[in-house]
Amino acid sequence: MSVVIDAQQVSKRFYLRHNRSAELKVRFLAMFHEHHREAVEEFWALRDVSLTIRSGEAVGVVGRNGSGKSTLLKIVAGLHMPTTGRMLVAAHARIGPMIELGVGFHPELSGEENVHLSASVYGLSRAQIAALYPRVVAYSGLEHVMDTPLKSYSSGMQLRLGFAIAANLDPEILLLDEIFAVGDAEFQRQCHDTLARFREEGRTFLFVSHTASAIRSLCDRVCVLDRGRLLFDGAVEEGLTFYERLTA
Amino acid sequence: MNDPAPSPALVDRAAQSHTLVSSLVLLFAYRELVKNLVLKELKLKYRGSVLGFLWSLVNPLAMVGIYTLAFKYILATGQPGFPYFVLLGVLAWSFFANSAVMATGAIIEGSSLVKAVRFPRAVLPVAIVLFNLVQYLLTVVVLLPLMFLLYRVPPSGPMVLFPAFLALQVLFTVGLALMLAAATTFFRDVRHFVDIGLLILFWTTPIVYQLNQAPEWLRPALLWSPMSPFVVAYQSIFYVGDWPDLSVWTAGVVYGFGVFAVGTMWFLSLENRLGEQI
Repeated sequence: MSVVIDAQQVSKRFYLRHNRSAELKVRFLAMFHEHHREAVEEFWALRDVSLTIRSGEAVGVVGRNGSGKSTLLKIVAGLHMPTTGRMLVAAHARIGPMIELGVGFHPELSGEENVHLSASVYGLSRAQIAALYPRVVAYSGLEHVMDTPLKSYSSGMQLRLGFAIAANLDPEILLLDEIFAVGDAEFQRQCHDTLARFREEGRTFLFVSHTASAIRSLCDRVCVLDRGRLLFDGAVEEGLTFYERLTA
Repeated sequence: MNDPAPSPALVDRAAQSHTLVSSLVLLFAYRELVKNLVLKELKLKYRGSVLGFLWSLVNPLAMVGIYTLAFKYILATGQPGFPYFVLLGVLAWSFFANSAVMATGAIIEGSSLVKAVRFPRAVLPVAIVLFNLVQYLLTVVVLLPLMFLLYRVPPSGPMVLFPAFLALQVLFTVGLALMLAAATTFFRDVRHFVDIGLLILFWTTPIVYQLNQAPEWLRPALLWSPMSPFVVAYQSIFYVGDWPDLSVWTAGVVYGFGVFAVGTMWFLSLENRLGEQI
């Protein structure tokens, strides 16, 4: 199968700015007073991560909080750029970032208006959105409330609508960031069934999770990140054992 | 794994560079998002308000009222049709000033979108300018014919130039909005500079006075105040009924295309860093 994601020694540096201020006043004061001065601490969220993912693979990414999992996902999604190294992604693949659900939702707009707005953020044309809309409504099961403002929805309903959009964008490469952690059992089952179907259809997954069972059921490969470094890349059970030992 | 199949073209997005033309093409591909953002602002503004659109007429009319009181009755300039004259400038100015103020928050207030999805960030400030353009056109469509009737303004040839100068003003405003949106994500103070800057620009633009009322030596400087060529052009074609001078054309074209090109290129050079700043 062809390579769709190719990370070549990707490193990402963030600056932790203590005393951070975007105000000129503070920057001015800092010229005279030591304690106003911005203390900049370097923080490498990723260091020298090389990773090749082929079309149809499902890769689970595990690691403790702050190990760089989300940063990796955001660099693949094109939201952050690597500080050094290169991140290559398939040029024409539909990348479905499920990093956040319900992107662009506004509480005062109706469900229908929100679907149109949110879908257009992903770059869909008017015709594509018109084709998408009935599928989103059917999938979410929220037909009876699509004309009411989103603020009258329960948080579970908003989540369902958000996931309905993300799932029906028909992504070829799915970037998932722990979205199972939210919602009730029914929502989680719906998510899981949809992802399992995508899996059977041979779509590519990059899946960040703390949940071993979710990784086991979806992934055929595991990467373990720790303090920005890729420590393990291989089979699922071995990877999960490796991670358990790391956290023990 | 079997032999590596020939890869579908892989791209390194950090190394992709955008030219002015390629980013305009990309922006056009996202026109549905621009449209939906403009519609959202219009709906949020007018939904649930009893007077709705009428509020957009009240603000410029109040400004016209107070300037008429000040300049016609207190300072007694004796200029005929003064409210009509002031209205032309006030409407064009409001379009510009509201766009500039709102643009400073374009990226920061759109952070939930910017952090979650990759799309051309220029969409956000552009949508703000277009939202204000729609409001401007709606007020113009209502108030201009009213003024024509009230002040018995005959239709004249120069009026056909309105779309040309409006287009130049839109280019100028978009360019500036892009600069302000990007600059504010790095320095929040930009908002305060904008407030002061607008105050200065308002009085250096011939809105409540005519350019030829200013001392002769000051006129070229006033004409090159960034909003002046557009306002002077509207006054020329609607109030005076005359074709705009070559100097007005020159300043308008320079500011329209110049600020648009500089603003767009500058915004594109910072685009990849915007998401990490908010």
